[in-house]
Parts: sequence; C-alpha cells; structure tokens
Amino acid sequence: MKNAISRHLNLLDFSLLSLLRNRLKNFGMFVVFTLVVFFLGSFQLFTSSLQFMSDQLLENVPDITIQQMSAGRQINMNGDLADRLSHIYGIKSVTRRIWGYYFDESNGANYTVVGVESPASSFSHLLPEGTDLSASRVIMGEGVERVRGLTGRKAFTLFRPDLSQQGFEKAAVFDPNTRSLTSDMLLMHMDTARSLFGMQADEITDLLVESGNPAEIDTIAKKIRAALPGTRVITKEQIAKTYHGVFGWRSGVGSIALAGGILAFMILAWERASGFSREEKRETAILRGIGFQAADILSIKIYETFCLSLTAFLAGLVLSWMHIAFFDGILFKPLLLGWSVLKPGFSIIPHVTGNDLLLLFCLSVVPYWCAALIPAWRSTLVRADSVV
Amino acid sequence: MLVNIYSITLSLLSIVAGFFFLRSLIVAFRIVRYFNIDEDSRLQIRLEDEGLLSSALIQFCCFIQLGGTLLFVLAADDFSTVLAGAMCGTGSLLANAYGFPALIVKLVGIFCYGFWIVLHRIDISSPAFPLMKLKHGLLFVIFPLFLLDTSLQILYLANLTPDIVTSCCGTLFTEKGPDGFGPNLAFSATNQFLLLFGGGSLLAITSLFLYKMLSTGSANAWLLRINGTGWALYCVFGLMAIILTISSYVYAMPYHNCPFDMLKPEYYFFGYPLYFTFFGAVFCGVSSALLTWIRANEVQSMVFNYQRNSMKIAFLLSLCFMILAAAPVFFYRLGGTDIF
Repeated sequence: MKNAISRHLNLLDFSLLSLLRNRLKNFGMFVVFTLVVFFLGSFQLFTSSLQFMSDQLLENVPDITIQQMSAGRQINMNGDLADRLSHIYGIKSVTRRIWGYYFDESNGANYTVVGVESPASSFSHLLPEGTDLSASRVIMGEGVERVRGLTGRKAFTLFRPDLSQQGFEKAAVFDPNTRSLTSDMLLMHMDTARSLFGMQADEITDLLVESGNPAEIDTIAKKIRAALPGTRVITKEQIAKTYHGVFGWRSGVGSIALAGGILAFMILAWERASGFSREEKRETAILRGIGFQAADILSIKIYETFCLSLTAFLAGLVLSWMHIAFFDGILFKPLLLGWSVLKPGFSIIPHVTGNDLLLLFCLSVVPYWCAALIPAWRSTLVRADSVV
Repeated sequence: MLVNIYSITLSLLSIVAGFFFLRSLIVAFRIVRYFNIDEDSRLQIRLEDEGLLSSALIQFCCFIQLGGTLLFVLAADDFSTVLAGAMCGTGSLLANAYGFPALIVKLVGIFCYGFWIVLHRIDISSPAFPLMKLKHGLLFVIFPLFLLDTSLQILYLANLTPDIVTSCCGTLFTEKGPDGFGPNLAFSATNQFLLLFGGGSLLAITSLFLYKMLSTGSANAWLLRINGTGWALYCVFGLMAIILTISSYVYAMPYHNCPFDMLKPEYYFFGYPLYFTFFGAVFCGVSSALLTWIRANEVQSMVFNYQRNSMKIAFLLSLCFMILAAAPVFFYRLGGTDIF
C-alpha cells in the first residue's frame, strides 16, 4: 500500500515537472481552458444567483393572488368580492390591492405603482416604522427618486389618464438593499392610486390571500376558484415554479449556445494531445528504455491532464465568481435579465451551490479528459527502440 | 425538458461514456478473438497495449457513471422546483414511467463497472493476464446495460414536461392503493427495523467470521456465496427500510419518505455517508462471492487477498452504516427531537 502511494506520488512529481518543462505549450491550453470554464461558470453562477434571489423575493409574495379575467385578459375587479371569501376556512387574511404600471413620458421609465389600504400589509418588512400613507404621500424606490431628480425635494406630479395633473409628496425612500424589488416602485394609499389611474371608487386590481397553514394553500385556492368563477387564482408555488422553469430554460439555451465552444475546445485538446512532438516521442522512448511500463507512462499523462484541467477549472471558477460578484455579470446581464430604464441599480449577490460546481465540472473537465485520454494512451505505444 | 443545463450535462456525460465504451468494445472484440498469452507476435504485443487502454477507458466510464448517477439524482431534485406536484426528487422521477427504472439501471451499472474494475485489478496482478478474455467478454454483457441506461435517461428527460402533475414521496411510499406501495409491502416499521438492524448485524458477523476463516485458510467458497446472496437481498430490503422508515426519522416528518432529500445541505449531506457505507458494504459482500467462480491459478492469491480484505471492509462499513441509520431513530425516540 505504502509502495503504491509513493509510486504514484513520484509519478505525480514527474508529471508536474514535465508540465513545467513544456510550459509554453501548456500555458496556451491553460488559458483556453480557463476561458471556457469562465464563460460556462459565469452563466451558471448568474442563473443560480438569480434563482436564489428570486426565491428570497418570493418569500414575501402573498400565498394566493386573485385576479379578475375577461376575454382572457386581466381586468379590474370589485373590492366587495373579498367578502365572498369569508366563509372559506383556513384563510388568515384577505387584502385588497391596486397594482399597475405608470409610463413616465418625461424620461421613458415605467414605474410600478402599488396602492394598498395600509402599508402594514405585504410591504411592512420594507418600510420604516410608523410610515404614514395618508392623502398623497408616497414611498418610492431609489430608482424612481433618481430618474425624477427628487433627491433634494419632496413634491412632484404625475398625469392622470385624462391628462389632469395629480400632486404627490415623497414620504420616504425604500431601503437601497431591497432595490431588486423596490427600485421602480411607488407605494401609495389605494385611494391615491385609484385617482392616478382614473379608477372607479370600489375598483381594485387584485386580492391577496394569506393562509394560516402553508400545506392548505392548494385546497384554499381550489375553493376560491369555485367561489369566484371567472377569476385567476395564482399560488405562490406556481409563481416560484414558473420562475424556476424560465431560469432553467434560459440557462439551458445559454449552455447550448456555449456547447459549440466546448466542442471546439475538445477538438483543440484532442489535436494538442495527439500531435505529440519529436521531443515528447524521444522522452517516452527513453522512459520505456529505462524500464517504465506503458501503464506508468499512461499514469504520467493522466496526471498531467488532471493537474492542468483542475488548475484551469479553479482559475476559471474564481474568475467567473469575480465576474458575478464585482462586475454584476456584465457579459450575460442583458441576456438573462432584460433591460429597462430603472433596472441599472440592480446588483447581484453571487450564490454558488455544490450542484453548480458538479455541473460545471462535468461540462468542462470531463470532456477535456475524454479528448485527452485516448491520445495519451497512443503516446504510450512508442517503443524504446523507435527513436534510438 | 432537454433544454436544461442538467439534461445537457447528463446527455454529454452519456455521449462521452458511450464513446469510451465503443472504443473499448473494439479492443474487447480483438482481444476475445485473438489474444493468446503464449504467442509472441506483433499482434499479441499490440493487444496487450490495447488492454491497457480499454481498462483505462472502463475505469473512466465507471467514474463518469458514478458522477452521472449523482447528477441524475440532483437533477431530479432540481426538476422538482419546476414540476407541478413534485416536492422532492421522488416526485420528479415519478413524473413519467422512465425515471425510477433509469435510476435503478444506473445503480446496477455502477455495480457492474465496479466489479469489472475489481476483475481488472486482479488480472493485472499476474503477468500472464489470465482474466484478459473473461473481462473483455464481460464488456459485451455490460454494454447493453449501458445502452439501456442511456435510452431510459433520454426518454425520461425528453418526456419530462412542466405541466405534468406528479405525485410525491408522501403518496408513493405511504398510501395504499395503485399510487403507493407503502403498506402493501406488509412490512411494519418494526419488521423493517428488524430486517435492517437484525439482518445487517447478522451479515456483519458472518463477514467477520469469514474474514477470520479466510485468514486461517479454512473458508469455503459456498459460505462466501451464501454470504454474497445475503448481501444482495440485504441491498433490496435495506434500501426499502431506509426509504420507508429511516428517512422519516431523518426528516422528523412521518409522511416525508424521500430517499434523496437527505443528500441535501439542509440535512447536512447525511445521505452521502449513509448510502456510501450501505452500498460499499453490499458491493464488498457481493463481489467477493462472485469472485469464487474465478478458477485461474495464477491469480488465486490475489483473489484470496481481495476476499479477505473485502470481508473486513464489509464488516466495518456495515457497522458504520448501522450506527448512522440508528442515530436519527435514537435521537427521535430518546430526545423527542430530530437529529438536525
């Protein structure tokens, strides 16, 4: 046992020295490999981080959202519908909400306008305590504050659909740490939102239901569908699964796009490994001449491949992590996130799991080994007498 | 759901392994046909070198399949975040008819590749390579298994669509009737404990005895074979007991019987040592029994060494496995709380 270990350690030592001897050739390979891992890794880490962040955001999404549908599109609903849910056992609370988008022609930005009965509802975790939303006071995201130039002042106006102006007063700004959720948001009282959108006195856009027991959500949703025909009932789980499906699909498409790169890289690795030079041939012949077995030489070649690929894998991984952590994944951001006037403030928290590492390893290192193994074996076939 | 990074990676791994397999089958064919250790022809020398390649390739395949199986389980777990009704890997694997068969074939495949590597190690210990033809002939038996594995995997991934509503471990392993096979097994929790710990202890002790007997040279091939059969049965019943009973204690939820969730960080990767010790012990027990059919004189001492060591390892691993399996039960029964 001890002998076998020391034999392999010696072979490993020999391989490392051999890698150093051919450092120019190997460095080229190292750089290309690192780049492949970097691209694949950035993509995977980006998707994984987005999924992680969306999961975090979804924790604050209400258990069930109810929307009125007509002709396959969402329309406004009457706030009284909430009363028809009072008989369903297991519902903790029903909240009315107005959720809409306001297009600001002055700067081309879209604001998300949220009107609530009291700020204590689903946004309580984002607000400073005791925030008052009476009259025309609004709480805004830092993106809105920036594009409207409201850093030094409080009053601003927006247009109603009939082009009359409505005045607002900035009550507070959301915590910048929540900007992925709140950057483009204007939170106001429901009556203020109704006035801005020109809605009727009782109209709302959706109802939010909280259940007492998460295991009962699906059952409650089923009962709501029966009680309010013609509505769309969306559970938190459905939203989460849709997000995961979309991210998974996007990352799949991305990796197919990168598959060409992996293939090209495999061909390069194969070429490099099979076109071994006179010098290498001589080296192998000498090794065989002084008593190395073919298996030893194959081990040396395999160790060389392992060392090179693992170092490049680590280097590529660190680079892709830095790409996500310090540069917000600038290369893939437009592809995975879309673009919008108010989105630039959004920064990504890198999130790496063991699954990501295993996936990356299988996608980059294993094909490289595959491309290098057979040529490595072929190089062991050199006879001792062939170059003498 | 082929357009998903897990599906792409799994398919890539299968392509790589398939390529290696085909290359080694070419070698295998030539070796089975022409290999003759007594000859000294150019072809014979070439074949000896090619034997080195095929063994390297198959060892690599084994490694890839091992990684692929782990990835398959992790993929199933990831798919559960997309599939309606799936809460863990079990739900995803149940989403169509190919999921669980694919996993089972993969596990059987790993056993076969592992046994092939054992044969290879024994073979190269003798300069006469007495098992050269046998082990390469075996490749023609293993290859259909690999093809089946790949086909099932592709069918599973291709037929996986997010709008399928699947059931999950709570239904499969606990309910009676067509959807579940839990109590249909007619094994109560007590019987399962008895099988898991009673059977495990019995096999551990037998293995220890066999180790002692092999050390003194008094072991009989039939004893090893009976012991091996015991381990093979234990593999089936032990796995059932882990899924149906032990898993509930790990999660501290009576209706959560997922065999895969315990591999996740939430349970501190508890499943890895549990399954490693379990399958490791089974592999040692079964493989040493299979080796009793190797009659070549040149490698008898190596076979004997392997059997002796594997009996010792089977004993130690099964001890570790039983301690690991008992830990969550003890914590729950004595402390009234889950282990995590």
